[in-house]
Amino acid sequence: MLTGQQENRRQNAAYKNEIADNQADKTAEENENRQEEQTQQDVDRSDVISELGTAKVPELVSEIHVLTIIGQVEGHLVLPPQNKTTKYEHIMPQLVAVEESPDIKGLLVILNTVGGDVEGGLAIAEMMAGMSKPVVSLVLGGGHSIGVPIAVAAKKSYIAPTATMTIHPIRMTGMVLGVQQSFDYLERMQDRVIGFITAHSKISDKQVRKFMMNTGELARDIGTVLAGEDAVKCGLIDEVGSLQDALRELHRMIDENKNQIN
Amino acid sequence: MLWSVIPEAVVLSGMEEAISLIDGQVENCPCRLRSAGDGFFSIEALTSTDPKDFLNSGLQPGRRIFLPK
Repeated sequence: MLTGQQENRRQNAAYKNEIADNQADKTAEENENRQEEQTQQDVDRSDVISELGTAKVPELVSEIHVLTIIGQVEGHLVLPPQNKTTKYEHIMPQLVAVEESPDIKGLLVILNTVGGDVEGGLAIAEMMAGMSKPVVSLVLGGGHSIGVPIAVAAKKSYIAPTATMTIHPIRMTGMVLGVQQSFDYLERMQDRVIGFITAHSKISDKQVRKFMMNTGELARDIGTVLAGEDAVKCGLIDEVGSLQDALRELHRMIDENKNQIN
Repeated sequence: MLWSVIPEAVVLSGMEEAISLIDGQVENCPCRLRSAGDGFFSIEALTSTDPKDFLNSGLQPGRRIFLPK
């Protein structure tokens, strides 16, 4: 028969054995998991090698969203398929998503557009201008017609040295029923566009209208083509720059925003 | 109303041709699809109300998909 002390000792020993067994089970399970994980990583790596011919693909974690405005800005009409288009009904909710997303800290807008729907373009420009997150635009190739208000809607705008921006009058084609009424409507539309451009850049109203009505530059139209440096000199665009300038500025603005929050 | 450096006649040529749009789903997102024949479709527009869908690069307008009958 065991004494009370012996019984306690026996129970303690049994308890210690149980803990040791549990620990051993846990370690074995962890080792098994680690091995499985390693095997999976090996399989993934061999897949990457066979698919991409490289052993390591760097993962990009960016806090910037890139939005491209290319071809025609498509508005109320679905354009025929020969047009390369940017659809405003896709861009507008995308801007909402950018503004809402906690992972996106800034927006880079890259433009190479020939213009397009006036109201669609103005809608995009207004939404960009109303965003709380930093927005930087970069005009490459061309940022013509309705591309102009979109480019200046950013908090900071850049233009590549070789890029151009055409400013010309808005006009209407097709059957016109009331000439005076149509003219007034067109003029009001033009005033809205000019008002937006002057409100979001350093160019004056007078200068925009002068560029629009210039008769000595375009062969088949009136208006003005501004190349990179010219667009900056007249105050339409903030700076001549490249992708790295735009990105550097956007990161600076993002850091500034973070500091303000902290 | 177009404000573009490309003449309106060029931009709008082919407007008279009827296009066939159907409503469907791509990656569980409601979309409007343009038929390109032979079971191919391109995404014309997303009709989703979830902003996240508009950040999905696989759901950009113009993406061609094959939908078997």
